[in-house]
Amino acid sequence: MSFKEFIRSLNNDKVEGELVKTIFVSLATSFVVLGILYFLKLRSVENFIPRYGFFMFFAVLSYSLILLSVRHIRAYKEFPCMSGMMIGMTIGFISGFLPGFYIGATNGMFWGSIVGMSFGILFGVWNGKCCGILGIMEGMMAGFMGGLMGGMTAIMMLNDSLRAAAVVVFAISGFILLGLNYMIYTETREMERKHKDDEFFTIFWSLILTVTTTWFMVFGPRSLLFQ
Amino acid sequence: MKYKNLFFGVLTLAIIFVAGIFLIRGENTTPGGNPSGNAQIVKLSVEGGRYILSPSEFKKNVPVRIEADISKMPGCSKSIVISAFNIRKVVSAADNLIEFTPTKTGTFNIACSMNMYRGTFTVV
Repeated sequence: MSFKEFIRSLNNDKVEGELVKTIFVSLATSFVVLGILYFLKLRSVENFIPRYGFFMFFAVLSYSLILLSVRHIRAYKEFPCMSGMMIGMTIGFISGFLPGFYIGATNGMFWGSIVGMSFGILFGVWNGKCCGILGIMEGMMAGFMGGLMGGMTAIMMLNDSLRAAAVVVFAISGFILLGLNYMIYTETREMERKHKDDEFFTIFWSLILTVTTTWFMVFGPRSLLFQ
Repeated sequence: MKYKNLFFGVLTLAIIFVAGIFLIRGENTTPGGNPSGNAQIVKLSVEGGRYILSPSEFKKNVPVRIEADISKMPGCSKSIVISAFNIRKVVSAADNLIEFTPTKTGTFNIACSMNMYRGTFTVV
């Protein structure tokens, strides 16, 4: 089961064939929402683009990759324990770390960690439950750790190439999620698809994540350092 | 199906490219305004885990030049943030100056980038 076969499967008419479209729908939804919010409200916020634009951009890209993996996992619903634990850990950590990092960079470590942990634990538990309590616990722990680490890393990088670090962190997370999708692909060759999400699922979650992140970055509480 | 995904792939890249052009712009962290000859000179050091500014009261719209005493600034205290005036700088023996013009009145925070060392100053 080579990686080449996985890449080829992105063109089939099964679960993997929907993944590219999921990224597109997620990005399109998030950027349209962001555009509407910008013209309605955010353009009156002083320095919105220079201050928040960069982190919003990478947050939206990150959410599209996370939702892609979530949708891939939901299609098969149940996994063996080891795979489920890896799924819970990877999704929990990355969906905690990335929002934690971006919000930590604009609102401070406390709020970055709180949002990161909330997203991380939510997604970690939700996806980890594909193998039962082991995956749920793994997702919870990874979400907790990822959220804290994201906020902390952003603050520690504040005066040391924060934006370059954001690009590196995003790229590494993207490769890890790609690896997770490949793992799901290899683990599910003998399985039948059990669930089919329509595009509303992607649109709904992209909307929720983008609006929440935007609200938090621009209007949310912030630590002393950012007041 | 092949062409369908190619279509979505190209569209995805186009969206990323356009949004990136719009959203990615550098934040200006350059101090706002260069001090002229009549700048307010302020000494900065660390005592007991706190930033000490001497004097700690500045005049509005008059340029400020903060001279950091590196010998009294351990660890991350050299990484200074004054978020109210969009200032972030790591001071060193070679460059120990922070220059800006306070454009608003009030009491403002100065902190290290990890928010471990803190201090305040007032603009009147």
